[in-house]
Amino acid sequence: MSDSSRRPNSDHTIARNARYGLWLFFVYVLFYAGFVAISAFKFDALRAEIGGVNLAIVYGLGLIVLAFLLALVYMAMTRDNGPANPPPGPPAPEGRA
Amino acid sequence: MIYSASTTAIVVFLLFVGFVLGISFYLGRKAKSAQGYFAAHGQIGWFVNGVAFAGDYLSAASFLGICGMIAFYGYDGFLYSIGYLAGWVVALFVIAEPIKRLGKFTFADALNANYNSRGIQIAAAISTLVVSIFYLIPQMVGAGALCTPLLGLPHWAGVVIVGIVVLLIVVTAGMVSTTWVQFIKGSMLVVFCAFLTIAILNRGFRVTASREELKPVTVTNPTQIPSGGQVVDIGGGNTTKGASTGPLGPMAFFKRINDVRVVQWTIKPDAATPGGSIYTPVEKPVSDLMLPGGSSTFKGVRSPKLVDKLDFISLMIALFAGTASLPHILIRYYTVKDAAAARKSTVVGIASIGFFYILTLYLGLGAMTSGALDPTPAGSNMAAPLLARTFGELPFAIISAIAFTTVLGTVSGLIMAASGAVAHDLMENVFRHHPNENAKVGAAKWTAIAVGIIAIVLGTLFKDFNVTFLVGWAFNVAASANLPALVMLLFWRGTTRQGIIAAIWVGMLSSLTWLMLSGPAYANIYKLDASRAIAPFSQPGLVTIPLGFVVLVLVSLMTRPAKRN
Repeated sequence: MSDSSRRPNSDHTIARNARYGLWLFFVYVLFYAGFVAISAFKFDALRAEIGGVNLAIVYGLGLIVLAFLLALVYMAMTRDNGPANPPPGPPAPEGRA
Repeated sequence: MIYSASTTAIVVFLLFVGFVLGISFYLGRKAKSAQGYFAAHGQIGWFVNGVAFAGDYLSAASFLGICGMIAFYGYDGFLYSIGYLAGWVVALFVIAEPIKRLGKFTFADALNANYNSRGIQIAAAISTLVVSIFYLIPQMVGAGALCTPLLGLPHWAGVVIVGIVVLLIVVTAGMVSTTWVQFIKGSMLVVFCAFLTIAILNRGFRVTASREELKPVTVTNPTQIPSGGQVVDIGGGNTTKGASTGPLGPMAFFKRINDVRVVQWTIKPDAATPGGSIYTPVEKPVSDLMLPGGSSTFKGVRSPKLVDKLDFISLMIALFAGTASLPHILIRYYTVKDAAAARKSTVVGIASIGFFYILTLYLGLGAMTSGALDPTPAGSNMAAPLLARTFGELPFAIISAIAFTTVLGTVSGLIMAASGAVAHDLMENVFRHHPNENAKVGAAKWTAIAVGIIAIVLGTLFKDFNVTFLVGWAFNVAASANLPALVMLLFWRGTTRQGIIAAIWVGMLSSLTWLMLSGPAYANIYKLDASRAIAPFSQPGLVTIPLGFVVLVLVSLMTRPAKRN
């Protein structure tokens, strides 16, 4: 792994990664709160069937899958600073996480 | 139900546990320095650390408790799966990177990074201790529940065995070996549960008993307890014993289960027979159990009154907010090299944990329809191993051994967190006592022994609780005590030292008090009438988490330093 030779992230990189994290967090909160709200206030809606399976199961499994998908999106969006001693030549672009 | 030990089960079990311990000793022999003991030298690779996250997180509660709760009450158990995983979203998107940047060994380091305050160290260390011990209780209860069907031992014996084995691991090794134990066990748990799920799907649903066989029985000794989880109808009026749906696909399983009718047993004391209980069969369509509110704890979600729904809402908030506040999860961020590795290992963690939680739904429903449940209250924690036994002694032995190592791994992680809190935070930073490296590791080990003994005692006291319910409580305490401080520290510049200290103490004490005054505590600990409980609902998070935020903001505003200009 090249992790051992990374420079610490700059403040700019840190702030940008944190901003992406918060956006994705709010996306998830929306779906999670939706689930809690439907269960608490629109209980009968959970009985609705989607392809023979009730909404409670579909929404619940969906929340688990969504967490994973958002985690992948986050991985793709965040950046880290490159190696500590960049090779001579043009400056190394910021490496992907 | 009477449990007798099985030779195959015991041999496989001992081999497995011996193997894990052997690895622990082998890998731990080099970890002599404090950095090595507490944070594995910051050298664990992100993939191994990610699976170790799963190992830490998929505790006895996840495995035994959720399966049992789904087997007994249906969807309510799955609510925990959903909430536990959602908590990782908070951990990854909000907490992971800053906590990695701020800290060194422990959660208290991170909170205290900008303040250098003794008060913060004390508050954070005590809250780490309290949460770790609270989280240890269900693990120990789970250990006891495993040893009963496996070894034919009483509950307390299982608790003591786990206590001793864990202390051996922690005292000899430290974070390097606990990480490897978690890695091995985390992978095996997920892989074996996947096999078990395939076996469940392949078997489909089958009628396990005819309605005529299931009559009320008076039970005076455990041999007379009837098996629960009996299927009497697999749909279309097919009630012939032995009739089966044949193999089902993953989605067809959820469709077909709506047609299945199961018999569960209600248990009431028998007035005519002293010490006897009457077990009465109650037939239910599974479709009724596939929605939230099947258990007595969360039945309020189906009530028209708002106040009845608060328990459910509160639990969902506490589970969401609790993960990122658990000290034993937070310390795992210090075993990797940098923020990028912390992030990557969290994603690996989410993938393995999410996959596992999807499996819990199949395992729980498989147990519900297995015809092999133990219908007593303590039996809910045994649903998964008993389900495995319907596939043969070998799967039963393997699953039990994995579950037992699950307990071992989680308990050692928790004890590591607790001993780090005392040896590193309290001794070094609070009492300004700077022991040399050996003495520091020594102090951590003595703390580990003390915490281990406390856990053994509490594990025997709480045996009638479903373990995942207890974990839900630990999440409430963790979120109330730690989350306001963590979040505000990261996002509000106005946060002061006094604000953090006050928020931790208020969150921790208010949530603990609430739990001890709640209905389940009245019923299961004090043996009093639950309806006399002072706390209006059982999960405090809805009130005590916001309370922590309010206290932090108010105290910070009151103690704001004078402006320089």
